[in-house]
Amino acid sequence: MKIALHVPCYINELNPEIARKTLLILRHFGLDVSVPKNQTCCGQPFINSGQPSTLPQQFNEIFKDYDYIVSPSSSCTSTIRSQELEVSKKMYELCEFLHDILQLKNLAKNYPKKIILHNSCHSLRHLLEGAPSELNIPYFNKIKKVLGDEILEAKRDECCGFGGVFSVKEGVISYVMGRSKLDDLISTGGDVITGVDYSCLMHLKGIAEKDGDNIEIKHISEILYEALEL
Amino acid sequence: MKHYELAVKFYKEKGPRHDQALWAIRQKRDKAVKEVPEWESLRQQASEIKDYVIENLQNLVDEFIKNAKNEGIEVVFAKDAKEHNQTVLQYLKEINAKKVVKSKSMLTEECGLNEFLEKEGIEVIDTDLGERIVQLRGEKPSHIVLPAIHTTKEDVAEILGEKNTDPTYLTHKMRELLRKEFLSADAGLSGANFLVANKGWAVVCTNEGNADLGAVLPPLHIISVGVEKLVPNMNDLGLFLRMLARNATGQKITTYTSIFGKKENGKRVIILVDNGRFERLNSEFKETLKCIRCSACLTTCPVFRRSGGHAYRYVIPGPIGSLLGPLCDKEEYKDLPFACTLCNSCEMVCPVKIPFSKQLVKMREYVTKENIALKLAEKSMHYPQAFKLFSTILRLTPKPVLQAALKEWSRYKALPSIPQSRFIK
Amino acid sequence: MIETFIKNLKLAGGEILEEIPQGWYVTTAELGVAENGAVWIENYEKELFLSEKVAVILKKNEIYEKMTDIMDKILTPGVLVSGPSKTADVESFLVFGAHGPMKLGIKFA
Repeated sequence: MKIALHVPCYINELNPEIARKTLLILRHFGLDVSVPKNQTCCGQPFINSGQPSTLPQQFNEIFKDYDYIVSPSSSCTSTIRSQELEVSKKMYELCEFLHDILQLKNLAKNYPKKIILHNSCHSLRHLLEGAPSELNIPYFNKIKKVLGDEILEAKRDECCGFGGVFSVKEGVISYVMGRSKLDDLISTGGDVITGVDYSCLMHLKGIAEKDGDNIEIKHISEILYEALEL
Repeated sequence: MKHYELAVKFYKEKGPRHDQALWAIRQKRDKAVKEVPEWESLRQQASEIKDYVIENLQNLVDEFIKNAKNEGIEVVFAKDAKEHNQTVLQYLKEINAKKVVKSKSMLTEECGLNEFLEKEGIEVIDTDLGERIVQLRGEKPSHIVLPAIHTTKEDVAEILGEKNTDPTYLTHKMRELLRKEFLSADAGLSGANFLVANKGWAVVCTNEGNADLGAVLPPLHIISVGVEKLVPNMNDLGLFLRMLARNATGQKITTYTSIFGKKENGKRVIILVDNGRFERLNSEFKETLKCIRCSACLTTCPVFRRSGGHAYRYVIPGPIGSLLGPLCDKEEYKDLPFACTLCNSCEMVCPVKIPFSKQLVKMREYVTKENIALKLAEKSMHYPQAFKLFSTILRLTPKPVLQAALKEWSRYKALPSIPQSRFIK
Repeated sequence: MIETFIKNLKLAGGEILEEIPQGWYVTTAELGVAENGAVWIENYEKELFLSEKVAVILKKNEIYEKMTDIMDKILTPGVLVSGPSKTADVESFLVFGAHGPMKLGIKFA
């Protein structure tokens, strides 16, 4: 099984540790993982800004010979999956891959802190990694399964207000959405907020820092890395 | 003013209360749809029926017109808003109408009928209580099913000149005032939720009974309806009736579901309006024609709940309005598809499965004029070397400069710290 | 099914009448729907909307489970009614008697 690590461009620039830890997690499970050096951007920021992009086609060229492409980002995964490309069906968000392909669960059961899961929209309502409250389907949550049953969730499974280009076009509404999301997450009584999209987390972190909330925020790969004692 | 500015203004005044009120309705909706075990398969069926309708629209229009005429209803086809308004006026002039009672119709809002008739010296009384509230306030509905959701009981008391702010008192006061208008009106106008092609019947769903009073009391009843509201037959109608109210307000069905054929003791006219719909069939936005105006996408939208409907300016706000607005006026409403985080909640609640996220992204492209900077950036992102250059610039830029460049972000959020090295070097 | 009908009728603000009180407008429904407590009335008259109180006579054996079960039995125009007229347009407070009846009762035949 030949696996490629997708390194989302914003993670490469702003929090490269997420990429490193994702790689180590995958290798921990004995997988043959490569990191294509010529990868750039999946095209998401352009497509979502109304600018047509051929970056997904380039992505396809770079990654098409792998069996699976694993990404620590559900929004990049969803961008590629919504295209009709050879790689579309082979790309997985990290937890989705651990759940669907490796069929792993309870990986964070010995984690010393109470974990709060922020279900990002791309994970929940685009990739359907869990059951969104809008749908009449039985409850499930793959990320929670991978981490463990004790994981806390917010009351409202709504958007945190990041939305990429939205966060710079509509700063105030983006902030108030983030603020109510943070309040909801913090009120669960947990210690550390996590999620599969560092973009949402960066937004929540930015608010928490400016507003002086005393809460830890970490990407899921960082939690798993610690929990697996890598 | 654009969505951004209007949203901020609204949020400061009424945002949190508006969000709470609509979230409560979203929860009622969730409860109501979860009572129907086959809900998700109903959505699939509804979506397929609507796909069939838009693929066979002309045939269904022809079938409807033939059957409605056989029923004894006059049917007029109007190609645009102007023709629609002229047709309404002509029928009203025939009976020398001075006052009309109107029940909720987003189509007449789309056509600007009220303003048009008032210029012609005809008084239009909106009778849906929410619509009457906004009419008296000199506003437009802020939500397509809950037109006055942005107002408070104090606002209503003020507009009625009352000191008592009890909702029951105010509602019954309005009932009393509007009953007089019903009894003295020359004609009733309404929209329709569905048209049944093989029967030639029009179906109107209300809770208040205002459409029925308008249909039954005056001698003339005019129904204005967009062609996309057709359904092939009664079984299909039954499916939509199971879904509409549950998805809209969490009721199991609206109080009244009136099926109109020939009018006893008077005349009934149906004006079938195109106003760009047939043209849209050949565009990449044809799926917007599947919409049944249930309003669930507005209610669930986290941006709508905080910004209020008026921030969208178009007659239909929220996610569906962010698609319909720019189709009506690309320049005026080009900000709307960006008043969205692509959270996809709209798509999840949509009873006819309009692919909202895809459509909204396409709409962003549709409204975006060629942007050389973006285009160049996109081209350069194909090259890892360009990335490296960008990365170096990012690391060399002083934080205050970054904060200034990202001022919408920096106003409320700390910028992330940028590490010295990258993962892929 | 009759219990479901009664439950949903009450949720819609309607009531079950043992006797028809004086002064109520009386009409007959052809069909009932359990899943939403609605009744199908062919006799579309203005009194159905103008009256303060409406009593509807319905045969128990004409109640069907789902909305979709009655569609082929609707042979003429008419109106499906679920409880009394209502609105929540004033600050989301539910109020009966928006324009039409304040009360709607079902009397089983």
